[in-house]
Amino acid sequence: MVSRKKAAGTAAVLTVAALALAGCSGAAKGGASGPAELSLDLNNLATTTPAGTTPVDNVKWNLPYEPSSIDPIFTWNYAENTVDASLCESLMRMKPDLSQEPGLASKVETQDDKTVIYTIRDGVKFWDGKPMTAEDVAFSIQRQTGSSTKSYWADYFKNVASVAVTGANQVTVKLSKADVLFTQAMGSAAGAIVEKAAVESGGQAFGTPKGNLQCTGPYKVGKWDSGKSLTMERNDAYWNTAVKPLVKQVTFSFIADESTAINALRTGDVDGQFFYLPPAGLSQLQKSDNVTTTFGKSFVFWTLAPLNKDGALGDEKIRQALSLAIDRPALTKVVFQGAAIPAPTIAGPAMWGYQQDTFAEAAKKYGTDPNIEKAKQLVQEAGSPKTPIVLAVQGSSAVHEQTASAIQAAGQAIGLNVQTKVIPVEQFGNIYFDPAARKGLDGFFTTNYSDFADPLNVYAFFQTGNSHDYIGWNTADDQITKALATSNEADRAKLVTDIQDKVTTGLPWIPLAYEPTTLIQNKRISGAVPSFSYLYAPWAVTMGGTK
Amino acid sequence: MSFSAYILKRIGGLLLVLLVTSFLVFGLLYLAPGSPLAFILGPRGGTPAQIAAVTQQYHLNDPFIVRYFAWLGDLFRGNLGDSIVYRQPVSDLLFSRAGTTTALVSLAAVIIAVVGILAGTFAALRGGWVDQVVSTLAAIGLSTPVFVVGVALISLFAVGLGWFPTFGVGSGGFDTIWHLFLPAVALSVASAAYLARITRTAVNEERTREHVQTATVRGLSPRLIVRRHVLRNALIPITTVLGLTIATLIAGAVVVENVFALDGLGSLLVKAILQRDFAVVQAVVLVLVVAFVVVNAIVDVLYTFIDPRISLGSKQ
Amino acid sequence: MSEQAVTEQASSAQTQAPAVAVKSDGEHREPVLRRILDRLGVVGVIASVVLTVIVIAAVFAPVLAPYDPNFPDLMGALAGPSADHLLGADALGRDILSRLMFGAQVTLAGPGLVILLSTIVGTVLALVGAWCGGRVDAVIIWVLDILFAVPGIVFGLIAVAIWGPSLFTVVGGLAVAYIPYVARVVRGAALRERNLPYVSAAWLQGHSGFGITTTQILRNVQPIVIAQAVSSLGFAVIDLAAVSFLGLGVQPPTADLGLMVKSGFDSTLRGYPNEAIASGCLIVLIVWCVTVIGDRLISNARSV
Repeated sequence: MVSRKKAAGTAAVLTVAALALAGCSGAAKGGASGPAELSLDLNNLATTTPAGTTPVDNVKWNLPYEPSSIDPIFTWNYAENTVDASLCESLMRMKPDLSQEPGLASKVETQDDKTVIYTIRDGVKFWDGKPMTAEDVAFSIQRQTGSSTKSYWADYFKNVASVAVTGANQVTVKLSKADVLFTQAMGSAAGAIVEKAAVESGGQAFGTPKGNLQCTGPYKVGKWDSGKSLTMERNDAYWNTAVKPLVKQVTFSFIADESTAINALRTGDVDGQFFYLPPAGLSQLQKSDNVTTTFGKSFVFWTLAPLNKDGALGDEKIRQALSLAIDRPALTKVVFQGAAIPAPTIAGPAMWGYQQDTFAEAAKKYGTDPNIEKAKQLVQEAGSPKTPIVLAVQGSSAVHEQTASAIQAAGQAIGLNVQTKVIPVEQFGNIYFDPAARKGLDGFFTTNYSDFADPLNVYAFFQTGNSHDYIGWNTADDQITKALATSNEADRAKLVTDIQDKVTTGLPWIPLAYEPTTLIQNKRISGAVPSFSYLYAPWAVTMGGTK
Repeated sequence: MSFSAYILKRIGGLLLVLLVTSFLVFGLLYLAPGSPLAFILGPRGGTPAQIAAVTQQYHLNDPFIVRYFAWLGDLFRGNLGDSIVYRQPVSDLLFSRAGTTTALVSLAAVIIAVVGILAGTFAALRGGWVDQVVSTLAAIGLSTPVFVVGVALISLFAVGLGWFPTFGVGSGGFDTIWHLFLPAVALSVASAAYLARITRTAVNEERTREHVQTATVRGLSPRLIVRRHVLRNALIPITTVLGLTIATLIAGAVVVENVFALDGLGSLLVKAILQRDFAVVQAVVLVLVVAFVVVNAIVDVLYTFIDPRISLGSKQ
Repeated sequence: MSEQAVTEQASSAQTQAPAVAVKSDGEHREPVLRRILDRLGVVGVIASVVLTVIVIAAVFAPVLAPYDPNFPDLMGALAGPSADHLLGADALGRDILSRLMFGAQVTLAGPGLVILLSTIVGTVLALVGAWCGGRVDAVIIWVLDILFAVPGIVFGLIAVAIWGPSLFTVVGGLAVAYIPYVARVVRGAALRERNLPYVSAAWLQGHSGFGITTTQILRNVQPIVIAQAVSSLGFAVIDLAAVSFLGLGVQPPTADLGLMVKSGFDSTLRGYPNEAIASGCLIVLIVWCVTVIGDRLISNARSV
């Protein structure tokens, strides 16, 4: 489980072992050329799918693994958020186009940079019928602050000085210093509102299969059969009467093995799934008559994160050389089967939530064409280090293995000795937060993302002291600190493009590709939201039958 | 030995084995590098205050012996501890998954018994090309790893032809049998092949016995001879093998559950190992050991029913 | 994995009966080929030849393999069979034939090590127990019984839980799991030997206790030990491949047949079944050869 940035499950499958058993002599037939290419328009990724039209009793949806908890403060990863998105609503809501609108807060005012006043929406009810109060809202924020909070989201709350109910329908948050990420984070699961009484009576079990989660969303928890399935039922008393979901019940299964999941989708045993990396059987799915594949707009990016300050990748010149040697267009074509965009910078266009022109202009100077000559020269300047560069590869993930192979080849071309070390998927997440797990590793691959449309969310990773700053890269500290306190968007955009420039040169992380969301739906249903907002906003309310 | 004395002796033996294995597994896991702390604290690593609280909650700093006896004490009170990863009592996790494994192993046992005995008897009695075909198939079946069979079955019958579901255990009753059929077949191929072989040999051996020959000379109908003299006596080696096979199926289920994405004890064990969720690893290993020992004991008891000459507990 | 226990049980049950006393081969003066054929049968000879070819291909893989088994060529990924790549290329564009040859190395050497370790330890335990008898024997039997109570593959998994996934971890775990099966067979044979007149005679002549055990008994139980080892090898191949298939054994990018089946099934899903068929077949073939040879050896060891 764990790291949100965990990659694809396993793999495997099959049409063949049967042949193997039948006649071991027969040579296999194979395609004459490489894998088939997909047809998709990467410049025009989807944010919606045609809404469903008929009521459906039950939709079977697959998750890449079983959530360990659905208490919003622990939902920091794909499976947990896919579920909670329909259950627990946040103060702000992410729209399918990835912008934000008011959610459970009907109004947000910022008095000065350090005071945020939320007006609580009227008439919102929890599943148990109790009205949502300012008390519940203050509690939901409060429980994520302070040094002993268990919240996985605590980074966003580190500057919260106080949370107070300042009116019947009003909650005021005071910050110890200006933090432009806090207000935006209230549109992610960090801003989810839970019922105070339920948390207090639930204790440790709150949000587990035994605990009584209480939220306000259009779906509520039905049965959670640990290990087998989690069912959510339509909340017929949903406060927003304009929203009328057609699907009565969604049953989540937990097939971790990617190939098994693909098989289940192809045969209709499962009706749908979101993939954050293209699964190995993508071209088969696209050919299938049973399912539709939609590529959605997303914040997800694929990157190589150096880990060892003292290893070869600790040297900026070596990072630059390796980055120049990587053929990103070929990588996206072969490894991602065409379902990815070559990435010149860490933050992609989907994250430009404001001042698009500034960001677009700034992005023009970066390219993705490899330059082997220059890379070789940089390696020489760095003294042609012979120590191997060991990259951690997540077990049973085709994308990981193949990217590593591509980088191995790139390293070989410029005289760098790149090796791989496979880490089982269950332990891969430890690399993010356990220094012991990073021992002996020079870098690892991660599918990472921003929680909202602001490149600063990602670039703030490289501020000294941030848990994502693995090699102590500190070149942009000043600008990052300043940008975090800059609420004026034009000014902030300028600062962020400066930071981007430094990050793209210094390469504390090496960008590789931008990843659309891959949504698979059985043809009997339609309407699920294909964009990245499936992690934080109800994606099933527009879903329904097609007949 | 009387039945109750026998049962007491077996239970005593089982407890001893459990005590030793639990101590060894607990001790070895204690020495293992890597801490489950990372899983509890989540992606941020945690503040010192959080780490201290969690360390205390899960007794991570207590000496080994203290933790072992605490665990043992809890065990006697029926408490297997809490899973760190799932934030649930281990017994809940086990309970919800034991059913799947039991159903899978039972179904496989039925398939093994039916197919193995029928094929073996058929081969022995018919001889000739039937014997050749059965023997050849048995040899191939014995040489084919469970995961290869599983993958072949999924691709042919679940994905290719769409006759069976591709994953999961269904909603109980016939639906579950339908869901578990392919996994059970995969699990039983090698064992059925082996049982067919043993049955064939046993039947052939019995047929050459004196009393069978006498019966034949006396002109008894071949059908009666086969049923009353040959099969009955051949049942002893067949039961031995079948019993031992079922006991080992429990371990084989680990692989099958992973191939077919079933939520059984085996897949729980593999996941728990990788996640360093030691309370779960410990509990699953013990459950597997108990199951293994209990099945073996049942086989022993069955002998006495098949052949009253064998007494309970004799080391035949 | 499952038949391991079964075979041993059945074989130990049967070895109770005839005392295994190997006559010297001096009496036979038939042509060598004739003798091999007698011992192995036609099928056995075929299996031996096939296995020899596989072993040679594996051992000399560094010389014979057409490509570096780990060299990726992403642009040539999933290519079908051609003059360049006789069996095609895998999802990373690596030559499947070369990977099979190197994979067979691991797939044969790992289980070989399992059997070697468990046979040595198991034989020593059994001989010590059979010779010393009394309390020592009781303790050894007790330990073996406990080992018996834990299913084989679970040992491999426990080892992985402790030392992390790797070939050597699993080999170590499985070796422990295979000890009691070897020990039981050897112990039975050794106990009978011990009671034979020639052993007491040797004792009377002043040979030391352990000397007798090792020289005489070991020589006489040798055929059954070897036969046992060969036929267990098949189970070890399956167990190890299964653990690697689960992702807990041999780690990529090392070529291993279990891993190749796993990655081959992914490619199969994309419509390229070469790797899965090739590696799956090779495993079945190896296990079949080893099992056939082991079976013949066991029946020879018993019948002599």
